Amino acid sequence: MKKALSLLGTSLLVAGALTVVPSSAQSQVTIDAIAEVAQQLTVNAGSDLDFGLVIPTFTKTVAVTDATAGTFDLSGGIGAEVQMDFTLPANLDNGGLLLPIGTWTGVHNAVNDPVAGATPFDPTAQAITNLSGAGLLYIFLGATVDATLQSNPGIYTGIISLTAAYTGN
Amino acid sequence: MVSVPPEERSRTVRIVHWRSMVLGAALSVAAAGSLQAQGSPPAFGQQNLDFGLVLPGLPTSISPTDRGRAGQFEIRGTRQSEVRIDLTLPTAMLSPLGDRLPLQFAAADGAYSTRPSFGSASTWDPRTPLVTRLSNSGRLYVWLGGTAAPSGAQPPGMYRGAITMTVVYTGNE
Repeated sequence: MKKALSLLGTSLLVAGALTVVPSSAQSQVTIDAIAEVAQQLTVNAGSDLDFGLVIPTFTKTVAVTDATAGTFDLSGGIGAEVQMDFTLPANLDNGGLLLPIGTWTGVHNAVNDPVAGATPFDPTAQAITNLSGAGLLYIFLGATVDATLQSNPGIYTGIISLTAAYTGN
Repeated sequence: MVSVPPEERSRTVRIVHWRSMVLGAALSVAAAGSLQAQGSPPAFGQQNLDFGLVLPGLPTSISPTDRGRAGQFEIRGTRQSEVRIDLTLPTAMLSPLGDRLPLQFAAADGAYSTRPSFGSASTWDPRTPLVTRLSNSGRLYVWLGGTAAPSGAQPPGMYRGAITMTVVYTGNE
């Protein structure tokens, strides 16, 4: 009888041990990976930098606050940091006749205003700043053209390019 | 050798049967109690893996040490028990429109500790199972980093992907 009890007890213990670790004995929990992708950065050319009529032997300056200042605007991710690189002509050109450009000036602003809240920067170097809370940035460019050595009349032009990119910050 | 009358033998068999039923019932209860403690260590998702604002064309990485943005889990179970943890990691997050934002995990993107602070954490490759022990108080904390890799033409908007942790006791002492 004792042997019978012992065998029975052993078989029940083994059965119990197998029941303790069923394959479904697991916990599962889930979290999310989340991200918000910002708008792609876009650069729009605004107004040309227009010196108007330049008198030979004189210099002429267009300030960033002038109505004829050159303008660009950027749009993209809210508050995203961007770097801006300008390609600036050293001269305006008229069929090989050159009109040198002296000083460059620039300001950027979160709103379309070259004065209130605007930040000066040097367009001849890389500029880094942040887009506004609306994902916008406005650029205003000025410069001085030097006609002291150029007396040939005509239309002189040059190209100003702006390349902008997210820094990732 | 003792000879037992037939009626006496019959009674003995009945007693054995009754005792075995009692024994069986007792073992079943013990097994059920053990299953509750050992079968399923509770796990909790404490924090999403949050990449925040990512920019088209620029990969964004979150370190498991980033308290505010790393994914976080907590396991509470039987003290000092060995557990196996498997993470099901998505290869991409999806926008509501079905656009895919690739998601990558590297060898040092997982970390775990028996303490809630990251200072004492060990790193592991979250793409592989982790076998470790719970603390003296039955706790384990797990952190998860990763990299979101948007394309230059990634459509803007919110993206989301599920990360599932599965925890089991290994049964090892």
